[in-house]
Amino acid sequence: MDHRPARRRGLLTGLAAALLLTALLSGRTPARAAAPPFGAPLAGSPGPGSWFIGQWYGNTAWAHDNPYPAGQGLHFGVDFNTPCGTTVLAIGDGAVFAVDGPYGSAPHSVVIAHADGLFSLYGHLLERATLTPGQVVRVGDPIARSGDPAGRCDLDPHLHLEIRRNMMRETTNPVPLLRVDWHRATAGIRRNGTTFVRDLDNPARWLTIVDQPDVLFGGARLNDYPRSWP
Amino acid sequence: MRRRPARLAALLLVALLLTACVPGREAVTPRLVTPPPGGVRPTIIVLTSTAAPATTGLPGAPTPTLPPGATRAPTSPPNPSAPTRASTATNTLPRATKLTRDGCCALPRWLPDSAGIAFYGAAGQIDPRAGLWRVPQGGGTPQFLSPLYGTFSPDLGLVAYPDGGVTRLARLDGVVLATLPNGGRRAYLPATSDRVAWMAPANGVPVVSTSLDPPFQITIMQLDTGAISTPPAIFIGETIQWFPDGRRILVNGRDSRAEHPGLWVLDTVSGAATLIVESPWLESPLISPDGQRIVYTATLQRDAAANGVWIVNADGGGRQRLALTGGYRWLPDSGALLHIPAPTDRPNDELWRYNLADGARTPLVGAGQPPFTIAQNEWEVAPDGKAIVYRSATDGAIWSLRFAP
Repeated sequence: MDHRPARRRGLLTGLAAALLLTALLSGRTPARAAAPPFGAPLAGSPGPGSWFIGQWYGNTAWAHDNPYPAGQGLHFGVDFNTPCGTTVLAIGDGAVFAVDGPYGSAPHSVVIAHADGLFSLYGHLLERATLTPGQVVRVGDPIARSGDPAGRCDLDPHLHLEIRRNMMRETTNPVPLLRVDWHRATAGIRRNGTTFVRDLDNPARWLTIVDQPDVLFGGARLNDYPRSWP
Repeated sequence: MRRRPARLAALLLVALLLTACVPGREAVTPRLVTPPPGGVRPTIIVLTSTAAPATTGLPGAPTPTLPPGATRAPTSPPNPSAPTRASTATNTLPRATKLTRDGCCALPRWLPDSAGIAFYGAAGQIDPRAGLWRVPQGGGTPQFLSPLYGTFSPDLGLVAYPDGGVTRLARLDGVVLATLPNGGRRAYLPATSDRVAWMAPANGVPVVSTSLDPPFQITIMQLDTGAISTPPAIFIGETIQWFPDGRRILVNGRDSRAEHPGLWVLDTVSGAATLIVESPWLESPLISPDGQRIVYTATLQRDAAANGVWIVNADGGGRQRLALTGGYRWLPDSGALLHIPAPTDRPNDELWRYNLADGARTPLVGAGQPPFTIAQNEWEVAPDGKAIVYRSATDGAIWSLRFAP
């Protein structure tokens, strides 16, 4: 009797467990000198009909006007505006950590655990993903379909992507970690989510798509400036 | 032999666990590069032109419908057959001038006479103050104008800035002319500078989705009398723009129930709100300097051919798609746009002129030229239409780019 399929399953299960353990026990991010470790969560090029950045991570003007209480007031992910039903891709190798877990970003979400203690969270999905915790995924694998926060697809369809670490308690800026041509990812579109607020008392801080602070869930608000613009 | 897979899995597991337990490496904490304390000696680069890419066709557009209670706007069918043509490179050689230190400053805007540029930051070599500075368009030593920053009148004579729970309207020398009881919200000054508007929360109106802006009403204050008026229309949207007449306001948004998305024109005198284009997910609308037309980008449309840059008359008529993509600005004569094509796989940005009368496109800065990359869409056209100013994504400095006469 050939036991190879069963052993292969065992091997994959072992790998998944290892990735999950790695993610949980670690909490570090890769050295910045290396190439960004992750790919793009959507296929194709940015454009008005495909996808474009609707809101950057961090100190955005939208977040200043509509602060996110859980995330120290900041926008703690990157929003990729895209039509509902767009295929969402795993940004890196890993194992499914949660499907519709208690991590926000309603109505549906997926979390994938990666090496180096990082997790990628894909939020505002159209439907519950047909994945199971522990399932191994590879970079570029289709994992879900995009939706919108209100679950009706006629208001603000977008994919919300977070990079978490420290046992899911913190987020970090996805921009330095993803291989995306960020400079052109807004497709020339300007909105409150693609501009940053200037703290007029600290005018050089958190004003670029790269220079943004990590967010600790439950921490004090960071963008409640006495003098700011806009 | 049969045990090899299990051993392999065990070894991988141990290796990964060891990896996890290794002391942390460098964390991702991006920082701004501290600019050198050098001066603001202008760097001048003469750019060369390149050939033009092909233009694209002009597919049709969805027809707007009228929401209940809104004023009917005149309509005209989209013009999918508007002529376009790409011109070849001109002999003009734009001249780029570096105006500030790397990374020090942002939000460049032209002074009314095109002779200089104002911007925000801490530009001084010795003077550490942050605020509004100005520099000659050809380069030179920046001069500090004011510690105040906010919305400026077109002549840069007035600034509206938040101050706690109010917004102050002041001259640049700090003399306060009016105090707006608006919760410190952003104020919008029209070209006429005789009134000011802001977006006041429409209390009691339910929020449909937390990913949309909260409902608001536009409140207007006359600066000479202090009289405040609030037209009844309630919107959900991000920003508003005054028309040059100082009477009408453009709203890119939805009604109070998050329905009827599109471009609305509010007459602040009569209070009438007119939906001139009904479509979800319209972005980046810009009113022409003469107030006659609006250019905008349609995104995520069900009809893929409807995605792209459009132009429409201010009364809702004459809508047509333009054969361009990316970011755009009006030229002062309202007859042409400057645009930066996007997306593109080229390393640098390009700058084109698009003539609205005949669709002719002229390259002003090509992709093969020295680094011309604009950070976060921060660029403005000079009042004389002969130059732009921008913040560079390459060095974080502010540059001017003047085209040959």
